[in-house]
Amino acid sequence: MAFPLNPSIGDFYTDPNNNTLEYVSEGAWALVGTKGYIIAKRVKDYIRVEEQLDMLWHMMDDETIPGKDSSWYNVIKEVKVLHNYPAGKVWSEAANSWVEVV
Amino acid sequence: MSTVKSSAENLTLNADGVGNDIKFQSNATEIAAIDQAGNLTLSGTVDGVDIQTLNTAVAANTAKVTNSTSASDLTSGTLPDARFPSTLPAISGANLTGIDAATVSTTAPSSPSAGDMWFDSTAGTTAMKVYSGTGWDQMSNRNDGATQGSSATLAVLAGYYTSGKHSLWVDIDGTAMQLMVDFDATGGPWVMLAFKFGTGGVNGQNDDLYIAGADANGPLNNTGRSGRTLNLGLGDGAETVTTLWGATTLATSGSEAGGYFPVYGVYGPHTIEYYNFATSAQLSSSYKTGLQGWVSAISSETPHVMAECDSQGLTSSTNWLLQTGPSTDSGHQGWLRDKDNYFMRGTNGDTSTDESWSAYVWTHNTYTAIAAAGASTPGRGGGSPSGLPTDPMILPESVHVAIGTGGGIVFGTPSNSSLSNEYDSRTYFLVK
Repeated sequence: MAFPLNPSIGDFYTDPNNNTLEYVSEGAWALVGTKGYIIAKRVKDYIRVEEQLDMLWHMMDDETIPGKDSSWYNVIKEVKVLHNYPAGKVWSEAANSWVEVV
Repeated sequence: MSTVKSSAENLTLNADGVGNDIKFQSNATEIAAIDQAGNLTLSGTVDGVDIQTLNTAVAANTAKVTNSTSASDLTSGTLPDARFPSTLPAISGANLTGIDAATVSTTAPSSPSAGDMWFDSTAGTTAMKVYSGTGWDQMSNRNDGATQGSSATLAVLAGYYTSGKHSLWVDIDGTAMQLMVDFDATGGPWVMLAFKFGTGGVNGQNDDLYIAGADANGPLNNTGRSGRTLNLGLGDGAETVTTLWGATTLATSGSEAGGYFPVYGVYGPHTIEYYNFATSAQLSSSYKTGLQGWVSAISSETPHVMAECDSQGLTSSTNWLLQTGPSTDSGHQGWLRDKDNYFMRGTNGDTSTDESWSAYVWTHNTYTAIAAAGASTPGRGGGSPSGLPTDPMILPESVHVAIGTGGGIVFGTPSNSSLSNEYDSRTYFLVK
């Protein structure tokens, strides 16, 4: 099998040495089963770092984890207050607008 | 002797009657006669002159003389210069055909058609121009490449410049391209180019050099690797790998030591762009494509060099021309791909020892495999390459690498001290 010149993420390729590679990211074929392959697959499936950090902030906010009095928590909170959501409302993707919390 | 004569008076011979002639005989044969109209007929000559022939010639020439105003009687010879008046008469050329009119003026003709000619008599210009359909192009037989309108092939340019580096308009398969041309290197003139690696696996210090390594453990990451010496055969002797590829000493760690990739993978294509020294900018896409189709040689003073570090002798020998493309093994592989998707394995069979370097040096028609000092001789894989498999590979389109454990691949143009191939802080190579 010739080397794929226009692969898509998730494509597999068995090379001339009979090794199986997966196209894990743009321009990168990883040998299946290796550490690099697993890391690449994790990176692909991780949510964005910003969202991971927001998850941590909310865990502090509801005191699931300590840190609510930390400077990091409060710096983030200041930004959230500055650009706050409308009180008593949530965003509806279906309505494409803010709606009352029922 | 019988004599008929008169004495001091006319002698009259009379043939009496109409139509009778006076006849003269000699030895009973008539030799002359005079008829009643006075015409003399002789059977001999008059003092050596053939009266009858003379009469015929005079009659013919008399006709020509009579028609002397007809130029059709001039059938041969050359009119002598003296037959022309010293001041030629004013003759209108209005009815002349087969002659393209050219306007002589300091201002361009209005509403010209393509092909119309204009002699621009503006002081300081004074040049013949032709209308292309959109503008006036100056006509000249001096195609010295100094301006876009005078682009010339390298062969023609060789007649105008004998040394130095000149930014010129070069005829590349019929397209004028502004390029830097070197007239100093052997076998020139040559077009000067440098690599400009745009994406991935790139040395952060010099973008004319490609370095790909394993994780944070690349080709230059310790003094053992960076201190190895290679002799590329360019006259500079054995040099450490950190000074081999350019005037700037390479860093041995950090982003400046190259791009790092997860172990056991194949990475690329990493597109290769080229630097145009004439414009101090990246070669445009159209220039790049045009040059890739035009190029057929690279100077032996500036060969391409791809090197492999620390394959630990585990890289499988691979045919130089194998078209399967990169694969994974325990070592590293460096591959090039041309504009037509033809693969070439740059490092085609390293069998050297742990932590060593092997370098592969080639032009369009030469090939050398070189080991670092103290290392095993590198293999050449399944084949005996003598140069590039395709001409477009002189200006490859992309690099692919296979990364194994520590070490990696380096690709670029070596520094050649005898040529001093550094310009605009880049190491250049020469092609034609």
